[in-house]
Amino acid sequence: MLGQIIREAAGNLLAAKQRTILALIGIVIGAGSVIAMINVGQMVQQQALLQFQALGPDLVNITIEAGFSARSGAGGGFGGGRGGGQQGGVPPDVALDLIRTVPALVSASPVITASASIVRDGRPVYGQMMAGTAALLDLTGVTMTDGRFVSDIDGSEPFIAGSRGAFEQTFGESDAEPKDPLRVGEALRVGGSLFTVVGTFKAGGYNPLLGFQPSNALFIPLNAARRVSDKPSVRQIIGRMGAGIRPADVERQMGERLALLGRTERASVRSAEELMETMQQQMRLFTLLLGAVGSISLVVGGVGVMNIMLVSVMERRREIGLRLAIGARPREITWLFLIESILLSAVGGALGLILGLGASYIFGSLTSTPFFPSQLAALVGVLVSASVGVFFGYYPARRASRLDPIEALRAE
Amino acid sequence: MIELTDIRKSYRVGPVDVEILKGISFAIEAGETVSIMGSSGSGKSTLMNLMGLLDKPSAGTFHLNGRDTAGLSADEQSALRNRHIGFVFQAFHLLPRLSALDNVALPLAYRGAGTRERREAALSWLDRVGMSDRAHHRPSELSGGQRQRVAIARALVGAPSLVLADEPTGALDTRVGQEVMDLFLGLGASSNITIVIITHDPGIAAQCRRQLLLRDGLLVTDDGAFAHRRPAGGAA
Repeated sequence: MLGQIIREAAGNLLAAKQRTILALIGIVIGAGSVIAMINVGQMVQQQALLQFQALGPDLVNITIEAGFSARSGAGGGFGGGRGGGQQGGVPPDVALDLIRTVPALVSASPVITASASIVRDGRPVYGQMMAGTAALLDLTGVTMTDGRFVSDIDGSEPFIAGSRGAFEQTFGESDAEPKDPLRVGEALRVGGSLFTVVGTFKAGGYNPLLGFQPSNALFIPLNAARRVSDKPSVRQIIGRMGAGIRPADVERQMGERLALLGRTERASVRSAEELMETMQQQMRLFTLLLGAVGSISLVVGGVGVMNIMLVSVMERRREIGLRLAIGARPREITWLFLIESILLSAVGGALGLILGLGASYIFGSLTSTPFFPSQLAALVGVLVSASVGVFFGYYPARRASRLDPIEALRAE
Repeated sequence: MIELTDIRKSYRVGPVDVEILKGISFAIEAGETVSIMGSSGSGKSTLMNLMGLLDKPSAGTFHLNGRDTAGLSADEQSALRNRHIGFVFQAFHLLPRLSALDNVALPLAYRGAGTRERREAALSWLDRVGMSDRAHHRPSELSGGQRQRVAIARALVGAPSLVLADEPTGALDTRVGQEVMDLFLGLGASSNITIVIITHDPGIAAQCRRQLLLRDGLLVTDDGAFAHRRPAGGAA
């Protein structure tokens, strides 16, 4: 019986081609947008995770914060200390001491962000100037294209290892060739000093944990920070944890060392792993939101299906009346029409899957986000469109089954 | 086999109840051919709908094959219609997208018969109405007389005990109508099926052994069938 109902339903849909196609378009666009939205959400999420993973989940960003609350809690009273104060931060030599002595870190570099005006060929340009050690090469995941990175034996020499596209305002990873790339050997005036470019690099993807964009960065030796800042202070340390180390271990060991050195500051550690989890939560929410936006058009498509089905019920009143007269149970009439709308939305869902994946693929190639077909998107898209078929098909089907056979047979 | 006792039916039209059937009683034996005549508004269509279990009386009882039809659920009514009642309509009511064969087989589908059984039964009935060479034609490819033959096959395919025909020749010209009537009554007689024909055509009515005449919701003439009647209360 079911097989026959499905055959009949398909036959009826084919018989009313124009209407069927119109209803189908609604469902295809609806299901397609749900699938595309979720798939794109998943692609973006995946890409963000890959960027994180490129730098490694063991990456940590340590912030040196002013610590009188911690101190006063420990009963130490007012602790001023050298270079501390409200802003937090420690002098570079203290930061280097921390990196050397804290066993939880296998490699790390202080990062001093210098705000200085940069003049290139007589024109002011914008670039992020950062002082640090050679370890930053690995920690920021940049790839040298020419010359060398800043070295720990550079002392306070006015050397720069900068991104080739440091002065092109690009965000994230860009394969585009900079129009006016930074060149080894060129000189930049920063504050009162003249810096020489000793190396250029190509940045990897953006990593929110770093807090800066390597693609805009100009790295200078740690001690060269003195040339651009009166009193350089390290508020950020980027490092890598040893195997099996938790961010809390880094925080505790740093705190102990800072206390031993008689400093009031405290270290606050954010790990790539934690950030990844937070980001994944946000991404899930984002994907959900995208899916919900897509669902709106699916609901509109569903209303279209209901409309078509109501028209179909009206047009086929005589048929319904006859079927009831020769012994069809009301339930069987419900199924006859319900199967039609389910069939309609299932076919629409399948075509929507193709459309949605196609749209995601196009999005992927336009934004250089790697495309992959998301199982979640396909599952949600097809399930949601099938339930749209049931939901919006039920009312017309129910209405058909409740027709009075006498009235229905008399219909024109 | 059919017994109606003081059947009344009224409809609410605006603020007033309009009584269409005002107390009708009669019985029909198995294998009888009965015509119900009456002018329009006499209540003959309403009576047919009640006998076809498409409607329920406001009062009175209707026994089909000895079974009281009051208080049946919609599904039970469907099953009874499917097993025991066949319909022939003036407008044929064949499903336009189904072939003649599938149209005839349709009642069997609703009792859960297998594909092969349906097909064989439908083919055999198409043959008996002289339509086996048109089995795969759609109704739109058939003439009026041919369509009614297919409809008769559909009414008989389920081996019903009662066939209700509402103006079966009303859409056909006289000659074709007569051919259809001959076929219909002949098949009914050979299968011992009770046939009730609603008509306003005295020529058609006269071909039935028994004629009922309705006027204003009352049975005014019941011609010639007293010998077959079981004792039943109320019939005039």
